[in-house]
Amino acid sequence: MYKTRIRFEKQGCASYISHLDLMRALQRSLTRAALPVRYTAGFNPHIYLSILAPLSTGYQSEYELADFDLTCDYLPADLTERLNAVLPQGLRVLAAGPAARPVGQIASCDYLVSYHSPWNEKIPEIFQGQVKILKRSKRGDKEAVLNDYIRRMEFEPADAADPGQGFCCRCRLKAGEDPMNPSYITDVLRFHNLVSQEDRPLYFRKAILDEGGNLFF
Amino acid sequence: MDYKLKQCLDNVRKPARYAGGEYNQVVKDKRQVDCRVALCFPELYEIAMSHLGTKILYGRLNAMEGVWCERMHAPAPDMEREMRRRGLPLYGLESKDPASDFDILGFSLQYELNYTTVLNLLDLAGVSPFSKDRAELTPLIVAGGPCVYNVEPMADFFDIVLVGEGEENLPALVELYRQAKAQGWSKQTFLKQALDIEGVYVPSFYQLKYNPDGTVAEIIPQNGAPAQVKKAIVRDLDKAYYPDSFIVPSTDIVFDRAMIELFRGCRRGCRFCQAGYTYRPIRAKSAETLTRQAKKLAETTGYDEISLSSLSSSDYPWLEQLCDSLVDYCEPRHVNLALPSLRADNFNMDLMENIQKVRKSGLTFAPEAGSQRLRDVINKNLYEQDLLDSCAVAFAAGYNSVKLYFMMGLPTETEEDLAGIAAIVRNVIRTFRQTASNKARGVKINVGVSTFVPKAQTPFQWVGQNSREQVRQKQEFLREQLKIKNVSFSLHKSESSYLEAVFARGDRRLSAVIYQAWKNGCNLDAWDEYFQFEAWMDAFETCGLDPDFYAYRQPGKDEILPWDHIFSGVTKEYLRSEYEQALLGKATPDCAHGCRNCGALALSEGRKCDV
Repeated sequence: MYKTRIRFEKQGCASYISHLDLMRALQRSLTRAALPVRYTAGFNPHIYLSILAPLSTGYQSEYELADFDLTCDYLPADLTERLNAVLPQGLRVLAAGPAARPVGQIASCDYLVSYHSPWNEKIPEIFQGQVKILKRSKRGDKEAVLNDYIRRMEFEPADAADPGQGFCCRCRLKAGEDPMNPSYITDVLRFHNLVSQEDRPLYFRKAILDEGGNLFF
Repeated sequence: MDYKLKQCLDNVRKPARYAGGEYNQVVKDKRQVDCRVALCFPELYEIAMSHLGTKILYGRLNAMEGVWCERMHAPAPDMEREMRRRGLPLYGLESKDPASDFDILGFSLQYELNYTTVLNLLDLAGVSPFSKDRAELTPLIVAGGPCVYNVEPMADFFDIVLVGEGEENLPALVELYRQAKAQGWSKQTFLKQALDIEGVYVPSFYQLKYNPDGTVAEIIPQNGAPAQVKKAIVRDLDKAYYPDSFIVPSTDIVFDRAMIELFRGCRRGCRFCQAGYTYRPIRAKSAETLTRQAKKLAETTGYDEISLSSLSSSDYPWLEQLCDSLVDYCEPRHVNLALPSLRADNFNMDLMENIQKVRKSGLTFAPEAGSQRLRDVINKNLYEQDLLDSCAVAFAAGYNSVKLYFMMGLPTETEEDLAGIAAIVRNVIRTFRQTASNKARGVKINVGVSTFVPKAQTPFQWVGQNSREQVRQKQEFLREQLKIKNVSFSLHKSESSYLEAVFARGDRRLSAVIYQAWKNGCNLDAWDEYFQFEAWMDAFETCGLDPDFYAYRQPGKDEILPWDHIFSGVTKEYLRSEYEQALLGKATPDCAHGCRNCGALALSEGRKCDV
């Protein structure tokens, strides 16, 4: 058996595929690609598949990871090609290899968030002091300090000469257990009227990293 | 993706329904096509994408060079609000281009309670709903589907209605449209030319005259339209187009699986069933064709379930042979076979065990009525003992749940017949106690009782529906009767069934009511949470039409019915004789015991029914 990990992008219309639906979409793609994949045992057998660090619906990404098992002992040379031939629009495998490192070693993610609201010099200042947020999770809401989850962050106008063109935020946020979602940064900016209510920013995941800040896969 | 669309999608539930991009969608270069068609399904994505007919026509039209066919469907209210607020018109899922870029919008009419949604989609498309207000050839608004056997209530909205099976006549219509567009024909010229295509019905070419009592006095064809439009059929299903691939939705839908179509038509002749008459004559695909199509679909979709669909799957003549060959293919690939629409009197447990090696699904039977007398009236041709025997075999094999479907409000129904429903349910429970291999797990019985709706082009088109008050009383009676341990009971809203009855046998004066109801805010009426009965009643009042007239009346023997100019192939005389047999409580043997001369065979040019 070959424990396989793929890195793939999730862009355009595929960004609206929810986590659960993405599982099914990938399982069906593996079937279409006629790859020898391991099925779970039991009453309702299905392809074993795990998506690492699930992404919010509507976010784009060039760094998504999924694990599955091949029943052969090697990685077929054409695996990426075969999968890419049968994936829905917006999903594309970028790399494949052994699922060597445990998921627990995921420490942070890099995001690029693009806003349509005009650039304002005050934006970076907001995050210099302690920013308290109400962090939502399955186990209930809790008060948290946003800064504790930010590994690095910078803001930049889309066009230095024209603040009206919007701005972007590049950030590295805690992932793994108790992860941080970049939407909290937007919430804070909205609270300060620096992002309009109508602005639907584009969230783009650039990378998943380990504790040392190296690419996880 | 356009920012306006992104803004909408970021604000709605289940946005994948509106994003497109699913695997196997067809994208063409718009500079290479001269005709753009949208198949519009007046329901939510989950329902729309489950529909086999749309998949067939989508594939068929996209197989034509120079034609690009896309999908449009009804947005849920949250998406509709976003679209209207941001000025985003209805768009094709594939190209995201606005409806105004399309030549033909083709609506699928599956259910009477989808009618207001057709108007809502036209409005979102920026198209005037009334055919007479659309002077230009483009956009051409077309309809098809089972409701066309009485499409009169929607007559004012469509330019052309295709009666019957669309695999051949829809492409023919599209070809004619391309010629008309290239040569700059007027809409009228085009509509007249279209009459030459099988199954084409141009509602505006018929004038209806009414008697003072509201019944139809005369149906007058004009502009060379035929006195009766005969439905189009595919004569040889083995040679008919069938898609090599289905679009695989990226989000959950109702029937999320591959489907093959075993046969069209049904030999049983249940007198309440519109499909049982309008899909005649019976034409089966060979087991070889089906096996090939099933394998192809499994490969191109990656689905883990294949459904063998038809009106009565256990009646497929070569079922065992087909299942054997499919099981050999499916089992090693972890693909499940689903066999819906089974009859309790020819249900084969060995077969079920054989096909359900991968995953076991539930069992569903439809006795439809609670007594033998009433089952003879509706020609269900099913004996209670057959049902109990089938249940016994299934329980012995380890099944412990069964769904039972019944109807109430059937012609000649008495309280005794309704009490019979509870009696059958009790007997099924007793059968479980006697035969179950695993009694400790207990039995679960789901009983669904829907309200009978008399449909056009059936023997019961001469029957009135029970009054809403009667229906409510019967529902209460059943609720009491079915307070039985391990039994769950579900009903249809009496108001929905009532409206369904109004439109099922309505005439074209009702177009005004549907328009007014939509103006009053009615949309997605098939959903209990969106259904607004008061708004509907207001619409009838505004238009001065009495819905009771349509739902409750029993038309006379020689009366002209509003849909008499639409011919399904089964003659009115045959339907009438079946109605008279029903009143005598006499069943008619199914077609396997000899042809009953219903008339439909005349459509198939010398072939016999496959029974």
